[in-house]
Amino acid sequence: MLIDWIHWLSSERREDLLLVLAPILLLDAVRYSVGALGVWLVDFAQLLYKTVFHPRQREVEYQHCPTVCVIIAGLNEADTLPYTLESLHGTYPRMEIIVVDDGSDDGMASIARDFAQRIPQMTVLRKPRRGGKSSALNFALPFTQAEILVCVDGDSHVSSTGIWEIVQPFADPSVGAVSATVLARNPFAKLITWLQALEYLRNIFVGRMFASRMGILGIISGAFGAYRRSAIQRLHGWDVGPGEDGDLTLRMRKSGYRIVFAPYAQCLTNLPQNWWTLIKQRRRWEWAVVTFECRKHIDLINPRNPNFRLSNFALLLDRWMYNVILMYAFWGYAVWLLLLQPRAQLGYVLLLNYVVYVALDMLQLLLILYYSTNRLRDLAIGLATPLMPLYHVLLKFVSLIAVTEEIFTRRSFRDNFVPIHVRESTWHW
Amino acid sequence: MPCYINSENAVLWFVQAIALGAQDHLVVDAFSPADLVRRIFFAIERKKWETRRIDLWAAQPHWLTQHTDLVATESAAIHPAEIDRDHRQPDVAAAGTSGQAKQVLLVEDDHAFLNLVRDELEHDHQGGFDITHVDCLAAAVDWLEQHRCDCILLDISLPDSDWYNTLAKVRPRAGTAPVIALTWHDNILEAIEGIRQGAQDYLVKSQLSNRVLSQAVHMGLARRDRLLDLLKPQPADDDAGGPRIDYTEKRQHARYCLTKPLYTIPILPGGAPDLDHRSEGTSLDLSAGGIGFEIGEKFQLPTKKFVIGVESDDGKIHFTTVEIRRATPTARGMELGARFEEDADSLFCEENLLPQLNTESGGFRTPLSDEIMAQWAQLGVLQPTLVDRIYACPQCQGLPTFRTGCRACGSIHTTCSQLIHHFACAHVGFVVDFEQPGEMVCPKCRLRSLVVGADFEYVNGPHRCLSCDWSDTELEQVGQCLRCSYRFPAHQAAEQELIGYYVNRLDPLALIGAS
Ligand SMILES: [Zn+2]
Ligand SMILES: [Zn+2]
Ligand SMILES: [Zn+2]
Repeated sequence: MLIDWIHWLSSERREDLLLVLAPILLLDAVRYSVGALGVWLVDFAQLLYKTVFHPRQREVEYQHCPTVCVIIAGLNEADTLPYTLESLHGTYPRMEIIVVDDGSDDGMASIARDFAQRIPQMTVLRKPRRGGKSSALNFALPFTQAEILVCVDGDSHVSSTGIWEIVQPFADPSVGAVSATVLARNPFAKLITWLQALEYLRNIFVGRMFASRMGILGIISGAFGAYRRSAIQRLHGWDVGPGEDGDLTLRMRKSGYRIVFAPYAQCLTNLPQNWWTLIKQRRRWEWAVVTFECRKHIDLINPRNPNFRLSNFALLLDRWMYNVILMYAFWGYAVWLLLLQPRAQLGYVLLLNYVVYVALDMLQLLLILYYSTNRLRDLAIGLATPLMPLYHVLLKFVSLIAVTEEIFTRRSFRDNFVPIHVRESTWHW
Repeated sequence: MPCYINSENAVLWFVQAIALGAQDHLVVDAFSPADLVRRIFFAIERKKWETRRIDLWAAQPHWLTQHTDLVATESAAIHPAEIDRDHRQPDVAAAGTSGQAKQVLLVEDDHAFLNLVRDELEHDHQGGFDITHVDCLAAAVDWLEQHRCDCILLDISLPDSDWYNTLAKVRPRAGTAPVIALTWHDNILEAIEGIRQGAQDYLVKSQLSNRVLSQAVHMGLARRDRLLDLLKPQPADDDAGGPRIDYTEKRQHARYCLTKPLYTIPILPGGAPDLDHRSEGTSLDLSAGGIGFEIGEKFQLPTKKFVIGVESDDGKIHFTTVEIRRATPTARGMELGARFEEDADSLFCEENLLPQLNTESGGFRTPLSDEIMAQWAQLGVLQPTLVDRIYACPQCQGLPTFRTGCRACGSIHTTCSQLIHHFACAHVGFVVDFEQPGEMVCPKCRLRSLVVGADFEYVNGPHRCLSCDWSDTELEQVGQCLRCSYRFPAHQAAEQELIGYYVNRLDPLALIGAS
């Protein structure tokens, strides 16, 4: 079998092989592996340059120390909130905390109030009824004067230097928001979290590094991200979700701010532990791409718009290419492969794709390990690499369904992520 | 107790009216309003005294059975004390019959007044008064020991006694004879007290005119006769269908006697039990109004109040308080005659058993001290029971008031900013930023004419204290002590249990039914 496959490989023409490998090369290879490789080459070159020409120069860490307000907006997160607060407490000198309870019925506010007795500079806000995450975040805005707002999810665990790392890029006044690394808190709990942990390492930790260098970073995780308060106030805060983080990022970019990535501002978050939750989460992400990138912020590609910037145009193109066009292309190719390719060669083709994909992921894993702060853990997570192709195919399928239903039915406006009274009165893009 | 008011001033009328049940008889143009008030008070006190007499009589079955013959001749002396002391006159049986001259004892040291009285009584046209005169208390007592008497005119300010003592000495020896007190002092309180002690009437010497004295004597005798009528038992061969009056029934009840032991506890002044003298007694007789019982030791009663307990059918001992009316030493101990007290007068009235709010101390407690209540509870008379649970001041146990306020300092001065959440754009901002002339406008998305509920909702910011720098989502319940003014968070309030007591009350009627 294996020998047959090698025979088949050597008998095929190079153009044919490229055609066969097209989905991998187009979908993920360039975006992550090659991108990461490029980043590494640049960093390595800089390292060499520094080592050769400025051998004794040492970077002074954490020069920038603005006032920070951490906003924790959540719904029914009474169980995990104490750990989040515990992880934040005492990690940064000029920090206040605002906990917004979006109408929880599990006593989240009272747990936060208990905590507020011990921590000065902590405010608890409670909304009488649920109004969606955007309104909960906006609720905190009138009650702080801090320069930097850091949004943390109620079930996330911020690393001890997380706040320091995330505020450093704000030393540059053109930076409006900083994206941070979100990693799995429970990577080995189940296979599903293991796979997600590796995906997060690849897409967020290294993937965003590349996007940030390219100037096309357009996403800030809701679990951990920082914003300049003056920028947020100019934009009047978050709009109705789902996908309010991405929406705010795009609006910031639209008004001229830069978004950068702080890879070592890390936060551990609880990943979904069953497939249905994961699928629901991914559907929301895909809906947001259609709602915001393809509808609400379509004016970013208009060259006659006074705010037109090439990086924003590139960002939007990148999104369309990978999340919509190439996703459909992938499934078109799959159909072509199944229906039109000779049945005998189908196995060979799949095997070839698999091998190449895993090889590229291995390369990427090496790069992850190069940048990693916890190499042993990341190596263990990387052991799931051989399963990743299957996982990605599954997610591609979720993506196919989500994008299609959002394009044709505006599914996101029937989503329970936002309470119905808000959904009914907001705009349907 | 009706008073008849007539326009004719004739002794005959007086006597008839009294015999028919009137307490007093006034002549329209011969009395002043002050006199009326005085007479009314007299009538009330006199009636009370008569009622007590009847009750005591009913509680004395021994005496009744022993002296039925005397009662039948309408002339039994009815005061129990005098019977027990054996001070009755030998010829009492002949007393009170009409036609015979009435013996009047005049106790008087003022000879001028003596003649005036003699004059009036001897010239009374109803006639028939045989007046004996003595001039000091000792002589009066001596005479009463040896003679029967129908009426006593008693000057209560005698050289050898004060007024109260005079009455106290004479009254028990007077038997059924009315005692009419004479005095120079027109003092209404003294007069009422005299009536209360058993005097029939109370005359001021300076106001004696127009046959007042003889009227008083006649009315006194008429009242005496009426009372004896009431006490007279119904003849056995009476009409079969005729209704029997209460007193016969009372007499039957009075014969009941309890076989069960009687637990008796004297009450000390102040309400504590006399632990040294509690004992098991034997009941001698029982009626709805009172009980006679014997206890096995002799001692000076600390007060007139006793607690007695009897085991009922339910196996529990039921208690009641009684007032001792008579205590007679016997060979074995003491024989006591007592009256059941009303619940409201009793030591175990509701106010004494339940914790009461004391506005001065600002707390709840029973009127008697806890120590006394504990003693009663230890004896098993009172059962402690949880009445209520209250929150009290953690410092002094006083009563607090509660309100919301600052959690840190308890201040009432807090503010709370109001915000608006616009649903469509998720904007949350202060109300003033939304307010435009005549409508609500969202400062973020510029939507106009917003409607509360449909387009936006109000949300409250955190409460801020103006007295300190505290801020929180919710106000705290703050207590403030009414006694010591201490301020504290409500959850620190001391929870206090109010302990009251209950007593298994003895129902005399049920007891009679059971015995
Ligand atoms: Zn609005
Ligand atoms: Zn205060
Ligand atoms: Zn107090």
